[in-house]
Amino acid sequence: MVDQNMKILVVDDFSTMRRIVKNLLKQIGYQNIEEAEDGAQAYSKLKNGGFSFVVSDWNMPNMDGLDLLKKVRSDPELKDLPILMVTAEAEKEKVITAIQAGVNNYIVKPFTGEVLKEKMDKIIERLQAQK
Amino acid sequence: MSDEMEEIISEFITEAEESLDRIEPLFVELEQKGEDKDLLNDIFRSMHTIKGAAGFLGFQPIVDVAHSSENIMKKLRDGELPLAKELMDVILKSIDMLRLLLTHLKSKDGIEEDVSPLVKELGSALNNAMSKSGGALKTTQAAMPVEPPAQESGSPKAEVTIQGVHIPDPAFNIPDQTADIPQQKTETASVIENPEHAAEDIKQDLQPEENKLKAVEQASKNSPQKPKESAQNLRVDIERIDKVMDLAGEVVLVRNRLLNISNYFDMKYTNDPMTETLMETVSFLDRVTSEMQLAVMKIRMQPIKKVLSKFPRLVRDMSSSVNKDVELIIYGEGTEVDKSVIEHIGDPLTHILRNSIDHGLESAEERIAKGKPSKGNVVINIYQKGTQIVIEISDDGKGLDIDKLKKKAVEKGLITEEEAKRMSDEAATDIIFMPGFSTKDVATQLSGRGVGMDVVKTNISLLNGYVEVSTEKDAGTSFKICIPLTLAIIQALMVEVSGAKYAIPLSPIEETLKVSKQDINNITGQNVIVIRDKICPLFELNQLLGTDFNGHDDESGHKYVVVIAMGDKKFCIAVDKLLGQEEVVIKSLDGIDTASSNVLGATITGDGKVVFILDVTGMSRNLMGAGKN
Repeated sequence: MVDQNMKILVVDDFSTMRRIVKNLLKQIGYQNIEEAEDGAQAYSKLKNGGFSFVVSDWNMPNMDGLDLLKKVRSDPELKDLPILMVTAEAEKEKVITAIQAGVNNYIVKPFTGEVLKEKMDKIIERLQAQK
Repeated sequence: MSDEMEEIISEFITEAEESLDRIEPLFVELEQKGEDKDLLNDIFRSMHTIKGAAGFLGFQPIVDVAHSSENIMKKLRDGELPLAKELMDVILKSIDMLRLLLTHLKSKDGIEEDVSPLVKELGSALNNAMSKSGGALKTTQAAMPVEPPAQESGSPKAEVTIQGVHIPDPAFNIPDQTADIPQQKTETASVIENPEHAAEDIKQDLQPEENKLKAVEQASKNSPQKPKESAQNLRVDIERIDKVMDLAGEVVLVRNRLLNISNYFDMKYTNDPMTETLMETVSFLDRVTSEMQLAVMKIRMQPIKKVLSKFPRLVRDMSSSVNKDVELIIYGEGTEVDKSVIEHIGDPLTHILRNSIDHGLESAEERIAKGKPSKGNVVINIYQKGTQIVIEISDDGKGLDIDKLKKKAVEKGLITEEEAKRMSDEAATDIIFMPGFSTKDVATQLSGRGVGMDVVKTNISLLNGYVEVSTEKDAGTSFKICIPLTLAIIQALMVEVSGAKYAIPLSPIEETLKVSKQDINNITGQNVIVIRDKICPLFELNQLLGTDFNGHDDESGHKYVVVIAMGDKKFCIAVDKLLGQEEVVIKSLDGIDTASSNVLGATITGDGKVVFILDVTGMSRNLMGAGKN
């Protein structure tokens, strides 16, 4: 079962993008969404706890998505937090790097609510199956 | 279109424009600093982000332009291409196009720009640069944007093109090793044949730790909700802020009235205990109102950087087209000014800057001949002085040629020969602000477009500000612009003349004096007074406003005089009474020609009366113009 109330963190430096992703998440039934402007802000929010899912952009100032991912994975409290990375086609080469760093899945801009749901459900189902 | 969608689009436009504003000066910085990885990445990221968001919103032309531009940026960032002026030029072109596209979106004019020529240009610029930087690169990189093999299609990973595969940099830097690339390429490509499965595989390795996630999830559900930290920005429609601003203005007016009324009660019912409570309450309201007003004003304040960000690019483009080496130095770009100032100061500043570069600075040869460094300097200095914002634009060029100015002005019939002779050097510099004046015989494509410095002056006085110019031969020319901090609520001096009250904005007032009638002298028909050994023209407010109906002459033997200073020029306005200082809210008047009536607007005073606010800037323009004749 996918918990529609789980708290999701949307990380992107471009506020329009955060809003778009947030809207898509709401479209597919998620309500409990917070935002962060970059990896560093995201990390400190995550450390405060309560988040069950992260949708993060890759390319951001201060701390980018990959560094956030690495930081989360190396943090004993957070390392199992599912992270969905948002990329653009030009960054696909980095997907390998992200996979090696332990990303749960990636999604290519622009995407629809359905694709997002599909990706998220997949991640969550897989995690639950592994429990 | 849903409201939500509309809001997102308008947010996108604003944010994208801000991004462009931010990155544009970086290009100039880049050209100066050479290949700076951080700068390149910053520019790349902004382009990339705009593209991403535009993709969601279905703005295909923006996506296309940003994408092609980003392709070049990416190669620059990854060090695969050297920085070259041609590349900068096309990228800057693409920024111009993005701006244009955003403008169309904003105005909803439905105009569709054909971006394909630009996209082609960007593509060929990239290809040219690639082929220049080595044939080997061309075959492996530029010619590689091929679609992945067909049999891979069907699963998402098929979009992973070979072009995108990361190959260690050394292979690119050393052409001899290019032979290895195809092999590496295929290897890497096969690794990522199925990224999603790869992710799964990796996840499976991590399986023992999965239980912990459960625990974390459980814990997070049980733990009480942490207080929300939301120190984020909120984008608000300017109309809403203006509404708040308007209401704050109304509150100020009501507060002023209430202060008046409470003073009345205080005098009438001094012994009533409620009077004291009333006074206390009103004085609290007074304080809070002032604070609120300041807070609301701050919402509208923005760093002037926004306007200045396009200047480095402007200087760059100009210095190459007029063939002068120019350095632009900016101080105080963080100074905050009202939004309306941001909106209206751009054009005048651009015009002055262009003039400084085009007319002010000499060519490199001329400069060397004069013993100056070959590179010309233009300095923009912005700072706050009291309730005014001061913007100075100075160049170290040849300075204004006073004789030439006078001669031209006579030729153009702007002044007579007689006037030219009498005119002081200081007054002569003001010739450049006369309508229809331009010193260049042939207007260059840059600064002379039939629009002269007079427009600069007009624009600045629309902001209740003024501009003055000082110059020294071969040392340079300096423009100084002063603008009040805010336009909506101002401090004003209340005066009375012929029984009517008027408000004079406080910022240009230098002092007020009480002069006896004997001190007023008359020189060739102009009343003057002497203030600390300086002669200052004196005007009757009644005459200025044309309200001198009864021709009354009060017998008191003295007059109150308000000394107005506009830059280095001073003049005095004589009034019957000085009533004191008041905070007034400017309400614009419809149907009144404010330019010729010497009236800026109106306000409602503490006693509920409508009072005109005088336009001293306009007055000084009229008076000083008249003074020259």
